[in-house]
Amino acid sequence: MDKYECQVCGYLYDPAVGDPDNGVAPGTSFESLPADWVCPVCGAAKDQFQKV
Amino acid sequence: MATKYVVVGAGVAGVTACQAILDTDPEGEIRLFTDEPYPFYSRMRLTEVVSRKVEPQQLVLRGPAWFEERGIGFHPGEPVQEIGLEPLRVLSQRRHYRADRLLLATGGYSFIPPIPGAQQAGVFSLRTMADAMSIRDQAAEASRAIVVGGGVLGLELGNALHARGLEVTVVETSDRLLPRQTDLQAARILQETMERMGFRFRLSAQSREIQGDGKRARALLLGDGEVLEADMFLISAGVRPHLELARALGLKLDRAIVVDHRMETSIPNIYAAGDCIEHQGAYYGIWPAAEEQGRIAGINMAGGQASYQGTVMRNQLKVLGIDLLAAGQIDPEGALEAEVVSDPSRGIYRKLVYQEDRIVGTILLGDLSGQRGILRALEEARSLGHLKGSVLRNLDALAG
Repeated sequence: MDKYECQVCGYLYDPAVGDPDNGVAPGTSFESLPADWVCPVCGAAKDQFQKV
Repeated sequence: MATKYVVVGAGVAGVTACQAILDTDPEGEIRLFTDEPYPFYSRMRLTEVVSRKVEPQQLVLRGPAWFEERGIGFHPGEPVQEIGLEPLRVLSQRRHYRADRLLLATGGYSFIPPIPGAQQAGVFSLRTMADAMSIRDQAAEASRAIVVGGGVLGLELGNALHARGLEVTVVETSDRLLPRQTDLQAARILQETMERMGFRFRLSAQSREIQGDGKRARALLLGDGEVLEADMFLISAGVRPHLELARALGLKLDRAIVVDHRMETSIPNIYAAGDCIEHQGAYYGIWPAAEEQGRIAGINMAGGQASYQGTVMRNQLKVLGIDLLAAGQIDPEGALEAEVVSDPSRGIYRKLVYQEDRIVGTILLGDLSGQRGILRALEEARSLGHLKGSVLRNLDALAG
């Protein structure tokens, strides 16, 4: 599964880690994150992320 | 006839306002002016240009094509020299542009304190892409750097230069680094970690003079008489608002442009957002506040209704792989009740500050788990009842 980087602040979404603080379990692909999921660091929307 | 919108400043407040205007008034004609020749980029990541982690192009968030696709007139490298009233218009590059609504999103500049010798070659500050590229290039010829100002930007900049192999000394007037994001315990833990990685600190230190050899800066004289030699000097002493256009217009100012909850200034149809404004006496200087203010300004300018309720002050820092988040009232004097979990040997310090049974502030160092729940409880001023005082050992209970 691909990692995605927030273009605004540099936060890296790693599917292997997920985003447990926001209820996203490890193993969740970026693509399957809800449309209203935002960067946990700076609040940027999904469309501001790029695959790395 | 289509409403004409003019936005001055292409940082996050200005660009977010453009999007909000488009969403609210799709027929509107928007023009965006910026003195910088670059398209909208992530200012927060400029230190990654300094460390050479990224090329400048990689920080672009909205390029010229994005504006073109949306019919927004984008004017990079075209500063607005003057604003005229009746009719409302801006003057840029000797052309006048009419506006029905105007947004000032002119941002801030890096304040240089009046230290004698600060105007010499070899002294830098970081605010713009051009600054980042200058510092990046100069670092290739330097082996020692002094950063004046131990705040978030100073430490991130020091971190970037350290990554380039420079020996970095941070000079700070306060008795601790990151004075607005730490209390003494958190600062001590962070400082020890950074010193182990080779950083040097001079705290409670005044910068008396930047001494040079006539050609360039060579040393910093401290208030106690110590002289620190270096090849480059970075001043990181805070952000001040750009107020030139606002002053010329006679807008109501305090420490920045005063706006109401609709982001309108003291002159009707002129709005302001971002690092150039203050709201109810609060000056933010952070990206999320500028973004929210720009959004609300854009909606109101375009005939919608939105009200700005302030932003919970928050700062996040990542240096040398260490995470630090500070939000709300961090209570460095220890006047309020706090819940603390700390493990200095592992570089961890986690504090929640309470007023009654509500979290009003937090410092999370070395371990950010639970940050979203904590921030939400803080933003909502949620009454925690019996949970108070045991939140850090009971993070799941904060979900809601």
